[in-house]
Amino acid sequence: MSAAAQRLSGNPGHAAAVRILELRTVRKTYRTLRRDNIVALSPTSLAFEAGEFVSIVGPSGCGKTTLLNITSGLLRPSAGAILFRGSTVDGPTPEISMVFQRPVLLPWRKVIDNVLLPVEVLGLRPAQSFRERAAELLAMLGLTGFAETYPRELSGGMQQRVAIARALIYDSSVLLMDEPFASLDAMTREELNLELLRIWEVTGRTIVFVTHNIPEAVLLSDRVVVMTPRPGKVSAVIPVPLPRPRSLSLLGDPAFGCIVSEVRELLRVRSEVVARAGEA
Amino acid sequence: MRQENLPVASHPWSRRRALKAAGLAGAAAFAPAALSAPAIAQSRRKVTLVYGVQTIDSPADDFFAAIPLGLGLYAEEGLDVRIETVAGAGAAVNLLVSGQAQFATHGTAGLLDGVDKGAPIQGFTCEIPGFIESIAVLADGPIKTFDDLKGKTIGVSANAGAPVYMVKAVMRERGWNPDADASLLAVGTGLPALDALRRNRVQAIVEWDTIYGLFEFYGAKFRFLRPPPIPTLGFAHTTNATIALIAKDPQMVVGLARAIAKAIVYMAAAPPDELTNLHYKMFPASRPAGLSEGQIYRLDALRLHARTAFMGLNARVFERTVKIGDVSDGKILAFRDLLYTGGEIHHSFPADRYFTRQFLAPSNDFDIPALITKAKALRV
Amino acid sequence: MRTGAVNALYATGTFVVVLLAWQVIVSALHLAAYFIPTPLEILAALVSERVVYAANLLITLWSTLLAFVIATAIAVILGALVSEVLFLRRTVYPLLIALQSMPRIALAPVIIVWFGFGISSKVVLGAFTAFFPIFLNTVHGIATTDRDHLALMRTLRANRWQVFCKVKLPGALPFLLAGANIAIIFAILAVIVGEFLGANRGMGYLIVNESNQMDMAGVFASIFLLSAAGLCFHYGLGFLRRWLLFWAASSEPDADGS
Repeated sequence: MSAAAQRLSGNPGHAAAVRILELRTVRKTYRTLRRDNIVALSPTSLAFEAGEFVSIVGPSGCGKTTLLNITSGLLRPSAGAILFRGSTVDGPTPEISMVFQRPVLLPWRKVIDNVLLPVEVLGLRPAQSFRERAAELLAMLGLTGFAETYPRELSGGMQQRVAIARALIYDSSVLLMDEPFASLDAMTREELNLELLRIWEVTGRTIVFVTHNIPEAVLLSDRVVVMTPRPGKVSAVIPVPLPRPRSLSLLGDPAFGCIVSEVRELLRVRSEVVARAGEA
Repeated sequence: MRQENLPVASHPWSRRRALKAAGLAGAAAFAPAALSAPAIAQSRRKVTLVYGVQTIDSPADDFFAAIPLGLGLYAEEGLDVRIETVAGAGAAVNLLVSGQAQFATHGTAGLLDGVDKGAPIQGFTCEIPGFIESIAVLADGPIKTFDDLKGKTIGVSANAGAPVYMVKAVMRERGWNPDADASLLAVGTGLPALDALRRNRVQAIVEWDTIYGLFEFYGAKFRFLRPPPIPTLGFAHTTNATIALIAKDPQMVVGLARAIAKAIVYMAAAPPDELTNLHYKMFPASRPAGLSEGQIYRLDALRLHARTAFMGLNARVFERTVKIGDVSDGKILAFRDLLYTGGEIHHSFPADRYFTRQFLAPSNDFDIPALITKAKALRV
Repeated sequence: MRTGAVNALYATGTFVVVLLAWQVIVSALHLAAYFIPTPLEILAALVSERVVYAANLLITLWSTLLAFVIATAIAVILGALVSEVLFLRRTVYPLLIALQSMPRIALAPVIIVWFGFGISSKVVLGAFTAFFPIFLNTVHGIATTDRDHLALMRTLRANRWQVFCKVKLPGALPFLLAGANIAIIFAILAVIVGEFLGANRGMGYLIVNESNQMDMAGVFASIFLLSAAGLCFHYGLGFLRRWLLFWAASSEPDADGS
């Protein structure tokens, strides 16, 4: 089966899948002022297959943002390695693009110029075809007609869409997303969730999606990575074998509810353990 | 037959001959210019003259300024003079010694200070051989003589300098205690000084000639006191150069001195209003914006009159018993002693160290009577 | 728009009232002209010597503009270099900070001796004083570049030049222009001081002349002209700021995602 067909059938296949991104015993510790070592991320190993949609959920302090930053190359791990298609990654690479929590648009550039920023920086040619692609992406994200406006004229949700368009303008294989819809209201969020799924299906990229919203994670992903804090570590990886394409009607589905409860229980139990450990 | 088939040489007006003719004509046209070019290059030498006061306020100061510049007197001597103004004689001496100016014109205190500190400078023409500072009291006031000032306050332009030494010398001459029998208060040189006198915060002021002219314009009426030793003093303003320049280029020095001497003739003989016109033509920025034309004429006439009273013009210009630019050794030494007693200078040199008379004869070598007539007819 | 016009009306009105009061009080008290002139006398002085005022104002304004432009150029370049090159930050930056604490106006006589009486000494003096606010603000602006913007550029593997031109410099612009506002005032003050101390032209020189001539009406007229020039610079810079910083309203999304 083709990777796309596997996705549609909800069956993350086996032999035909490519291990596109791998974390091998990645650890991150920080030195505090009192010379203690804080473990932000315990030794973690994760593997992502090409075309997968994987969510990472957990409460604050569980290390999910640290994990994402290390994966993108922005942060150096204290130990362990990141492998992209089998070769070590030691810094940011155009193969891995990132969408931050805040839209991080350059306010002095128009929307279209913000979307085209990676093209400028990476020196991609020909410029005209990228312009066209930018227009297509904006259309796909419902932003037709806003190409010539400035970020300050857009709402938060629209700005975040521009940031997504920017992450998609160039041919990265992996898209990392750090709670991109956290600051938006529930309705905009649901809208953007569906749009994201559509984009994922069209572009076929591997997406690693960090969130603290469990239903969102289950709705979007093939697998959910559950992380717990103190020390930050991966406590479980839950597969989501629900059929694709997914829609909001899934939210009422008992199978959906089951997986959500499972994840929630995992988080509650772990955090109780942690809290009790803290009280002891 | 077509023109171009003719042999060139036989053509009555061939191109070659035309070019030759043009060349000769051009050379003929340029020859006078070419021949005189060295003469032109020599005739206008660039010279910087620095003045020890920031502004040239009135025709009273024009003997080195508007008159020789505006009437071409410097140009006649082959000099292209640029005047720079600086704040204070000290700065002027600095520029002279550092070579940034060839000549400096300023009050003699600056000259003596400079010589005292070892500056290799010397005066070569003394434009103001009189002592321009006087003690003034209100004409309708209770003070009639200097003795009336015992126990009173005298306003001085600044807390140090020639005016202060002068007042103390007067007091000493009368057997007073210079530090106790009258007190001195710094009142500046502007209208605050006049104000202090009018409000009786001081009972007398000490300023110089043109300042009094300005005050009189604003309605003040003064009684001037010039008790001894003031009449013996009288070496107020010179134009100076480095000793090296005087030795190396006496022609240039003579030229400058002569231009100034001619300017002094104009100051003596020309109609004051014409000198006023000339001044503001050359220095439009100095024109008082708040005064009408008539008022400006009146003000400058007062200032010019105040200044010329100290320039010894009768003897120098009209009777010609003394050379323009000359000053007696006695006056030089009296001023030196004033500064020495006052503690401003620490060495006492002979008069000819401060001032040289070598250029007086050549600088007076022009037809003075003819110039007087020309000056009287000046129309600007 | 309406509030702008109303404000302007209030301002002008107040100004007119003050002038009228001044005129009436001085005339009624018969204060001497050399003590304080009336607004009418000041106006008469301005009008009668308008050619002289225009010529000298032009010189001062030209010197100020030159000084400001030169200071801005050097300050931005040095600010960028000091921010980007560690070696320069360790050597040049402390030196400049030390220079800044020196009373620069006190150097005016020295600068005049070095550069002469012409316009160059005034421009040097003006540029020297105007340099520091712009330089410091540029460095600060670059140092406080949005961390997220820098992270974004890192994910794109942008080189230092790209980061500087596309993110650091535009981001520093608000600070730079704030510094420019201060700098231009410094520049004009320094130029005028230079003209006080050693010049043959310019408003400073004119004021010295007027002051020596006890021409109070002239002095006030000069001061008014210079204030007007200062106001023009201020508003001119304001326009420039609004034009260049059109994007500087908040670009952050509101809490409700709107």
